[in-house]
Amino acid sequence: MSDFLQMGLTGLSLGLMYALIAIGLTLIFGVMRIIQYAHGEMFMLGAFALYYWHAELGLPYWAGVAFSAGLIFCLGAVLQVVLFKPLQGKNILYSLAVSLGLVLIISGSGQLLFGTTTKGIPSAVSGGMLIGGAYLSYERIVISAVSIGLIIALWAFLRHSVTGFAIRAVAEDPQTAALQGIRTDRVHWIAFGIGSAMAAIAGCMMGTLLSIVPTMGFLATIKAFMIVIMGGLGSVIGALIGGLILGMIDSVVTTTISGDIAIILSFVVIFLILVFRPSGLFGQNWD
Amino acid sequence: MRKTSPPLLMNRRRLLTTGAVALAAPAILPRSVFSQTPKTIRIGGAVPLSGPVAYWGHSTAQGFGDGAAVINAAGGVMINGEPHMIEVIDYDTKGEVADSRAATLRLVEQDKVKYVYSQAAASTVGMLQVTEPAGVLSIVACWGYLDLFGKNYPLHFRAETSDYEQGFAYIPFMQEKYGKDALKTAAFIGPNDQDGTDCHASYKRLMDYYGITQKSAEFYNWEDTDFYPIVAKTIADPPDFIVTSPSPPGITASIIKAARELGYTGPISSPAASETTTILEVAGEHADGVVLPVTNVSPSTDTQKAVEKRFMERFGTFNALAGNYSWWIYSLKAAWEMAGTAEDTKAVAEALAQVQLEDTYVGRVKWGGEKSFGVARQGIYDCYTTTIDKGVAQVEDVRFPALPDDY
Repeated sequence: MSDFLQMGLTGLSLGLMYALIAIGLTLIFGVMRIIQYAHGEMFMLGAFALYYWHAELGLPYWAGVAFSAGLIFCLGAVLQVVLFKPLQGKNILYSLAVSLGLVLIISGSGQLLFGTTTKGIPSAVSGGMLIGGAYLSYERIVISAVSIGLIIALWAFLRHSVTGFAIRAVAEDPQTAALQGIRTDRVHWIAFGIGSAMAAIAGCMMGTLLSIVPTMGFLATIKAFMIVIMGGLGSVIGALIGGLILGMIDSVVTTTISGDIAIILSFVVIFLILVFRPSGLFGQNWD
Repeated sequence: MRKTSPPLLMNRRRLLTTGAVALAAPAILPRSVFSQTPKTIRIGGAVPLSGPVAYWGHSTAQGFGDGAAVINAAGGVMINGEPHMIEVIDYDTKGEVADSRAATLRLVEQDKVKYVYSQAAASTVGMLQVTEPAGVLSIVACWGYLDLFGKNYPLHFRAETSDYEQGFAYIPFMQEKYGKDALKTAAFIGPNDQDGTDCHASYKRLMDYYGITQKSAEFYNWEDTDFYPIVAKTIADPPDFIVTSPSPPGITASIIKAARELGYTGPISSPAASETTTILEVAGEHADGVVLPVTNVSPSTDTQKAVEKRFMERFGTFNALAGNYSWWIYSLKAAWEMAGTAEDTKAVAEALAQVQLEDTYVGRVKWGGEKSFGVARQGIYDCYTTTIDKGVAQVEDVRFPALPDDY
């Protein structure tokens, strides 16, 4: 029983972190209709920003998370204005090429700037507790709580704030939103910034729990895309559910069978979802 | 009366003649007549300088860069009384087979190198596709892909003492430290590729030799980040100790952290991590009870201190792994001088297999494995075993592997 509880708790914490990365990606796609392949690089840069703030300079951990989120928000907003805005309305392949170029530039520069050794971010908390025989570290509890809090905050922001309404309106129909007086350019860079900041916070959380290297963004992007496709492009709730499904598969199947089978099963689940719901679990038809 | 020669006058005809002879001379006379600099031996590096195993690649490249500078400053390699300078050319393989093959082709065909060094399994596999058919001698750190090693690859040397040979130093050490009865069972955690599979075979052979029962063997994907699930599975039936081979420091640290958080208290040995900073940084207070064979974190001899000092001055950084790789180039130097040639790689290979160095960063070094692989091409050296206790890493044991007679 405790084994299954352990798997469940591990899967839950893993899924929430996955969801945090994927939600940023789905927000960017939902608003701008671009494939942001460099999303994982925002995740990596966010983790390194916290590393230098907290591990190198010895400054407070949570202020470092806020600094990282703010920094990457600004970077995302600048990238949107400088690189992606001119491509608006053009074939999606252009933005795809730009974001792939960004992946190579940021990842390569990261190795030059940060070095190639694996680094660790000291945790803000230590210790843990037993729940029904299963161990859960305070670190994982805090990270899961932060993930849940951020997802709720984003949901509330999109539902109840004026900017959130504007973002949803642009995601729904950019032309009509513009006719209603919404400044779509502004919404685009805000959404891009928020999405990037979410990735940065996820990078801070996962970087603290695990370890960080300049190449860590690639896998984050892959996982985020798997989740977004599963949950439905542009759907925040879909990203949450998709993240939890992937986290559970990773935990339960790896523990009971093997990691290889977990990867295979993850893709089998994605294929099945796409066969029965081509737009993903909660996605719209973007055709 | 002293006869004096008339002064040599430089008229136009003589000037033109002298100029023409000077211009034609390089084409007529042998090149050596004009050579002011010694001959050069080129060593190529097909190493991962970016990507997940770049840390290993940089550490290896630093050893060759430093060694070449030291040897050149001391007058070079003396082959039959003639000095030869060493030039090192490095290309990035990104840790990929295809990139390594391309880098090695460039080294062999364009740069005309006859000696290539490499690092880690993927780069070694790509490199070997080029070096062995081209008659190029290769020297690498690679533990897996044992079918690409041995008498069918007579020019291929594996300088880094593998997890198997290390075992004949660290297992006896652990048995002395923890007691034989406390180490009756073990579990293996490694990557799910050929490297991991081969290292598991070596580990199994080692455990069988010492009569230790294997409880489980788990294999992770290189892309895995959270090791909670795989560690939970490993310690479901807790082994007396865990071996994480051939996992790099970052992954090893994540495995250690997960194991300790999930309540596992036994020793964890990591033959490949060879680095303590990352482990202490990532695993934090959970790093206690970690055993790192061939990891000398406290240079103590004059040679070791000199290596550390030079690396710090030259590269601004030093780690135990870079120290481990610093002897390779000196081994080659000894082989060139012993063989009396740098052109005949077969003769150099035969000489290299005979080389023994007494005072390197890793202590005593020799090549072995004749009975296991058919040729003596495996580097074996003193194992400086570091342990971590209360957050402090220190060398706790130094011994040469007590290899079995049939090795």
